[in-house]
Amino acid sequence: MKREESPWLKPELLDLPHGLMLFAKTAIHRLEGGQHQSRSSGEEQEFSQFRAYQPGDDLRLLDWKLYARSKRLYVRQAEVQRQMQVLLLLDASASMQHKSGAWSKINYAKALAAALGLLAHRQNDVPGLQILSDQQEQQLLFRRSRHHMQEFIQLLKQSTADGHWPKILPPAMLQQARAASLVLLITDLWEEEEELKKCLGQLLGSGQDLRVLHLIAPEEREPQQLPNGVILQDLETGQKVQLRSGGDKGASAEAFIAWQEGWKSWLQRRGIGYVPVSIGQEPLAVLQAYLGDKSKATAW
Amino acid sequence: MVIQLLQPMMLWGLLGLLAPIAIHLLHKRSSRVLMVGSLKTFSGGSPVQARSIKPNELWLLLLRCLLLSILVLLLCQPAILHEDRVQKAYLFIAPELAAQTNTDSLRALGYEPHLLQPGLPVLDENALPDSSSFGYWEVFREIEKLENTGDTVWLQFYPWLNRFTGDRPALTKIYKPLPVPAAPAERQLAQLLQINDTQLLASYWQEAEGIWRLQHEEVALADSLKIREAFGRRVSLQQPDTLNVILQHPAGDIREAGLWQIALQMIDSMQPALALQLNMVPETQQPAGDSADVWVWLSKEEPPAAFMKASTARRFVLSEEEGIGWFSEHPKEQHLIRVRKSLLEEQNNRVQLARFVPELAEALVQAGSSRLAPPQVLLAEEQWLPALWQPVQEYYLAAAEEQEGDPLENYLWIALILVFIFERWLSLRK
Repeated sequence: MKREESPWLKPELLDLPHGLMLFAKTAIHRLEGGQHQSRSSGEEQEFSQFRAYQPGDDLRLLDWKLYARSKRLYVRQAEVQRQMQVLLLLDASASMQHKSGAWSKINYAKALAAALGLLAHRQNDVPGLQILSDQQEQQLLFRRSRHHMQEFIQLLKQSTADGHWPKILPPAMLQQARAASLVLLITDLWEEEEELKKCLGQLLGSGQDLRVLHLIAPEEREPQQLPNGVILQDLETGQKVQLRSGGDKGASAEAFIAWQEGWKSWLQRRGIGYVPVSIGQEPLAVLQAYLGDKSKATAW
Repeated sequence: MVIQLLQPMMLWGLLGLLAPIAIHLLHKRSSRVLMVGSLKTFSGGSPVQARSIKPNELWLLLLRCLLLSILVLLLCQPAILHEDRVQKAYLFIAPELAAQTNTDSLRALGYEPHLLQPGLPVLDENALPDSSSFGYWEVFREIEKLENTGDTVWLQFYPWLNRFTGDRPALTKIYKPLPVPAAPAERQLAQLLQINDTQLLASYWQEAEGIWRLQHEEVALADSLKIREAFGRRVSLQQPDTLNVILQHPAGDIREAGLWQIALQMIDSMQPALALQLNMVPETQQPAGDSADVWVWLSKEEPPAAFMKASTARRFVLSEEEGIGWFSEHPKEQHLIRVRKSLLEEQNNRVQLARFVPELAEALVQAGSSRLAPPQVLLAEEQWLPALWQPVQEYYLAAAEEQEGDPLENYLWIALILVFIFERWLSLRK
């Protein structure tokens, strides 16, 4: 049986070195999706620190041994590590077939999703995956199992860029999104604008962190690099336009910047993180920059 | 009115139109198509319809095709002909030749015979040849006035008759030579002179006015009929004429006889279909009876009395009185040239003699300046052997009213320049 080829499945992305893993943990923490801290009692309590007793504190938390030594009342504080649920939403509409250089947007999105899912798995978080297209409605629920990551990768392998953005978001996905602490949407934003904004509004509302990873092809941002006379064809509608001169390309560049700025401000007004990603860069480099130190991250 | 292409083979040049079309198609195919997620931000581009081309490119392609087409048309040499007129072949025959002309056979060959004399009367049984000394220039003026544009015009006359008197008129017709694919089925016995331009007329005129001129004595029609009966020979349209020439010369004048021989070969080269048999006989040797058709008496002495008195002979005598300064400048070189020939070939030989005399004079001058030098004009044997000669096949169209240039050609040049300028402008604008 012929093995299905997955050019996006790079070994360096799936077999991340530990150094990068540790580095990524920090980054995930910065994303507020890493090791989520909460104060609660339970079996998994671990001592954190002592705090002076204040009226109203639970008397059961008083450390009587310390009181015997110091004659002062201290409350024993503990921390509990809780598993965070990270939901990765993958835009699989036809526009994601756009290929630039070695990468198509859909493969790039799969590579990013695989790497981020693996990072979450390694830091004991639970990754979930939802493929978003009206032609395919596939999802991987949050659960802890031995084969969770294999199923995660398998679902990525099965998904293709086809159809349009779904008219209605799947209810199961919305339920998962509400339970998740971090929701990452990997998309090119080339959808019906009102429809997409409505969906993003639905994803908000449960207090979780929502981030949009915007995949951009280099020629979209800088049409000047295209040769004169090139014909552009819309992957979803089939329409064509021809860029005949430098003036055409200049106008296109300005229109793209205006469109991108419009999205950026709209997302930021609603507290949604916006991360532009150029598919001209290798995904590993992008992850290193994004998950690395803050100065590099701001360069995005 | 129709346009006739004088060089239709040049139409193959239209295959060159494939070049701009191929370039256009290759250029169109080279447009790269890039699939993108959305055209929303590519607002500067213009919509592309399937299989469509830009109007600018289409105009450029059409202009380039037009440019090539005009160029090819120019090479084809288009001429305007009037379609409503039936094309005719005029044959104007000098009155001296009218008696021997079979008008029925000429009409059967498609000619419309006229007399080459004032009034240009149609040559038929009732036609009266004009025996007066009229001038050809006036007759040519009348031919000019005929509505003969596009027709073939043949002239049949004796240029040596010195009818080109007076001032030469400004002939406005252009007679253009055209190649004929097939040779004529039959040749006319008498020489057909074809006027292709006014310069040729002028050259005939100059020859006739030159220092050498021939006189001839008319022979009564009755005499010619007698000769015809006596010899039993008839005019043949198909069989090439054979010109048998005997040069009888004084024993010491071999060099001059050689010049005559060269001159007669030159005559023969001008009339390729005529078989020339040339013999040189010293004066002491008597010619063999009537075997010769042409006698060239090359001697300072008078010809034999019997020769001069022959009733069945035609005699052409160079006139010393009219024959001009060459004799006075070269008193020792005076010659009396007497020519006798049989009646049947006389028309050919008269014309030939009229042609060769000026050239002979030139050859004699050359010989006089350097007596030891060989004659300049000397045809190799294969050049004048009749079997190797091909008849010249040409006919002429009285083409246009203008004296110079083809109007259609001028228009095409203007169109070519304009289209070229427009094409360059459009190309640079693109």
